[in-house]
Amino acid sequence: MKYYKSYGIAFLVPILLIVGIFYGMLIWDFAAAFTSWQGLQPTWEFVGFSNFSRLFELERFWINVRNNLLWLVFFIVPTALGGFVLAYFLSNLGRAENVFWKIFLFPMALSFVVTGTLWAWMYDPSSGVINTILGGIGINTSRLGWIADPKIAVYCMILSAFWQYLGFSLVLYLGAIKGLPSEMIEAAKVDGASRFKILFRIIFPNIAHATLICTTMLAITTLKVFDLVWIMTRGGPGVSTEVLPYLMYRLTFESRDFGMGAATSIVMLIFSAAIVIPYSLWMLGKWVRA
Amino acid sequence: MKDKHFVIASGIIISILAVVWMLPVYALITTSLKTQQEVAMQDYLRLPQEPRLSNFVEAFDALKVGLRNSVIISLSATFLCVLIGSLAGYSLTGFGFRFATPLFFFIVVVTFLPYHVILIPITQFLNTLNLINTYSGLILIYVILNAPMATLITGTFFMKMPPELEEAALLDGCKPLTFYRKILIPVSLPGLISATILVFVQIYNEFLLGIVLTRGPDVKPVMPFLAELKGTQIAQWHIQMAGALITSAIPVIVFIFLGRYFISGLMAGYGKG
Amino acid sequence: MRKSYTFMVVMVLFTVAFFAFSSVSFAQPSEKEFIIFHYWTAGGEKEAINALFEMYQERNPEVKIVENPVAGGGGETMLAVLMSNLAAGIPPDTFQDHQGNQQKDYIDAGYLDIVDDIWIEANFEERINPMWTKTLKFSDHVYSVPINAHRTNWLWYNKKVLDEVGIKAPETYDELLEACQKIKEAKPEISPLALGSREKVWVTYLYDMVLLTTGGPDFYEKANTGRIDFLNDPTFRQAMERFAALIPYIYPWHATKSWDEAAALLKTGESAMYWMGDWVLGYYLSIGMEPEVDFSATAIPSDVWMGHADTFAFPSGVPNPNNARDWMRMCTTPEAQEAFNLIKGSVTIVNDVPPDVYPDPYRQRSANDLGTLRAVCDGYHGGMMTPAFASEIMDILTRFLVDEEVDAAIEDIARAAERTQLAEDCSWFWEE
Repeated sequence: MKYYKSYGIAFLVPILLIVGIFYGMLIWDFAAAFTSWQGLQPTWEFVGFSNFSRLFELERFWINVRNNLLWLVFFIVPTALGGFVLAYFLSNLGRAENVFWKIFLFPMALSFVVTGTLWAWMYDPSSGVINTILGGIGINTSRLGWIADPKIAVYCMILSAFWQYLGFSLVLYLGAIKGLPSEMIEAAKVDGASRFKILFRIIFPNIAHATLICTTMLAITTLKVFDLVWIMTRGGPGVSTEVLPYLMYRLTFESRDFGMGAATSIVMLIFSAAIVIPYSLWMLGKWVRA
Repeated sequence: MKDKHFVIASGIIISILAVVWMLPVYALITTSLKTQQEVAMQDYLRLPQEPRLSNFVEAFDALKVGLRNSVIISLSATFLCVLIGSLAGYSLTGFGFRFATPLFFFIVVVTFLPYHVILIPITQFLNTLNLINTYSGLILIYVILNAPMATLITGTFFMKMPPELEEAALLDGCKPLTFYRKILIPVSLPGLISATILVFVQIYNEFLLGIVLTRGPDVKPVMPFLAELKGTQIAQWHIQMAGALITSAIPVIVFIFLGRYFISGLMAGYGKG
Repeated sequence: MRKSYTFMVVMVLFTVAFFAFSSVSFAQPSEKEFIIFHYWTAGGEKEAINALFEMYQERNPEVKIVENPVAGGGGETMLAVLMSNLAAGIPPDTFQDHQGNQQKDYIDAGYLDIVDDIWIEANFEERINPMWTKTLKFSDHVYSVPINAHRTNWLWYNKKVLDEVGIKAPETYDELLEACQKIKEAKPEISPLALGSREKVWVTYLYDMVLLTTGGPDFYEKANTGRIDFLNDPTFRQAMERFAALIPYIYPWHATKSWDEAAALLKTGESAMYWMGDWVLGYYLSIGMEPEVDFSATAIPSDVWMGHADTFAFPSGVPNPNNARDWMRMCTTPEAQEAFNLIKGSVTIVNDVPPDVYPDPYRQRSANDLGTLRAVCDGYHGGMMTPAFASEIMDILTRFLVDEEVDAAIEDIARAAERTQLAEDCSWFWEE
């Protein structure tokens, strides 16, 4: 398509306009990160990096960073992998898959606000769904506090996001698996390859783009996770389930410390760059065709 | 025979998992049919003594304006996002631009930020354009916030497209727009659909901007209305959960509509290639 | 291939529909609009504000009321919404607010205008408890009109449980602790004190209570405005120790309960007593509990009224200030106050509405006490603490509930007070 470069540029114009506006707003945010803005009225007074150093001194900031990393690992890998395996199972089921993908995708139709409430009810240690069922089959639940237990609360929260997003990765992989030429799998079967081998040696490498997009999307979700934390625990007990976006919101709108809130958002941007740069570099090698 | 066992086994596993998956939804449905008194007992698994459909009537009454607004706003914003995003994705992958990689990085990196960081400039921006409390204003903001994500997804899927397709098309004298419409879109349909699902869900379930950028109920999306149903110093979970089921209908319709394309339309696209 | 066509056609139709719709609804703010932000969004609270709207509509039939309910927490979303609109220079005509430090930030930022004349005209200062004037007047000016008063030093209790155990309603901290011990002994399956900390703010209510019962109202005001040496003050330490002494009797899974779910523990029989503001009364009535049969309430300490007001603030730079001013003028009248509060479940801020208009004994007592007793504002909603300090102390206290370490909590509170400059930011309260 290199003969039609003008088309290519024309196609880029709308997104560049949009991103331009976005960056214009971000500059405002960046500027605020270096000012002493506290309270509700902007004070554009330059204070250098003091917002950052105040932020790094906060113990809860590091708890937040740790929680964000936990989210990245314990949310993305199980959700992507679970969706992939499930998609493979489903693709073998024929017509029944039509019912099942809808069931698994349904949680995506609910907002985080509703999911948060529902899972608070699931985890409720005294009368919640999980402990009631566990109690019903004779397990002693008196010590299972779930989100009331600061040690495991963050994992419980990740599990509820897993519940909501599994359907998304399932649908993504289902589409990708069905897109594979069926001869490929048939040939492997004839060769006598085991199912496990087919799944991970043949199917998985051939739908790498789906994995890529799935993990990236899930990464975006984890870095933005806000409503769920807000609804389920308000970051508690203590600050044990707080994540950076929630810290940013609280610093900005609850503590009314705009400078520090904006500094937090820059930290988040650095986090994102750490994910996007390898992604883009990988594109460089593989993507741009002459 | 071995195949059959495997199918049965996976069928059973998936069925069990599906039941587990539906547990929270079960709690959602039973709560939506209870009275406030029953909800207060916090017996989430128990069925309501007498299903109260009036909860749904009450919730729907409060939500209907919002539903109309949300359908208008989220469908058009999603469409614009996917259109703009896919054109950009095509441009970055298909034309061999030297600056494609850094450009891609700059477009995509902002999708990772929660929009709360720029809540104030967004409001100022829309006010300058005199678009507060209009459909166009909300759509514009949602497009700005979500089009980069659409670029990311569609771009990655276009990358997967076999280069021979493009060469063949070129030989046929096919221009970029025709190629985009007739070949790229059908072949990358699963990518477009996952982009659509994700962007739509993001926009539809967004809650804060819908309040900040509107005045009164005329253009306010449905999520703020849903949040209002519970009340602040009273607690009407039963009405809110009925409302949650009602609002989930729109995404479900969208999923089912899109699902038809990705399940059946896909193979045809490849076959033609 | 054909399918992708249909797909495109459908999508194009949507775009056309979008442009058609959006061109219709280019609504410009008209002169006749009265825009109000509030967070009374459902049920009785919504009916209460609607009663005010009706009254206002009668006074100003030509004005169109545009309400913007802001759901989410106890007004926690409100600040983000307001902040964006105020900073963008498009203030609503009025918005729901509290008093004290909750309001002061808006005034410092220059977002509010003075309404002294409305107060003088209505002779408002004479008609309210002096505490309200103290927390609503900043450098001798007022910027808002309060509409109601919620009492928050109520202990709600399950009457049957207390009768069975054979204890009378506690009126001091010591009696409360004793009641907790006795209930625990007699009925080990019950958690004596209910609490819901899924919304962290309710923990500050308990904090207020121990401060108030340990050091009295003067100490309470000093502590919440940072005028004590947190690290070395013996009274403060005693207060925190008394807080710690209560923790074993608190419902253990408070972190998973919202305020209403915790309130319902009195109905399910899992808890016996609940420390909460008087809006819980409306909730108990609506879940079918009978006052003075299933539940009752007692004020601790009985000689102080603690609570907060909801106010309507007057933003500067609104296009039609007269609309908002008439709203505020209306809110100073006993009729508007009575109409609103009867439905809302709170009491009037003005003392000239007789306490016997309320159908229940609790509000009668609240109104009576507010007219006669020493009153203080509660820490968070009442704006005694700064929002910045409140945000920190919520985290400290929810952790304290888990680890019960008094020393660590005191240290953290001292550090938070210093970091957020609590004493400095609250110095306005002590200026004469």
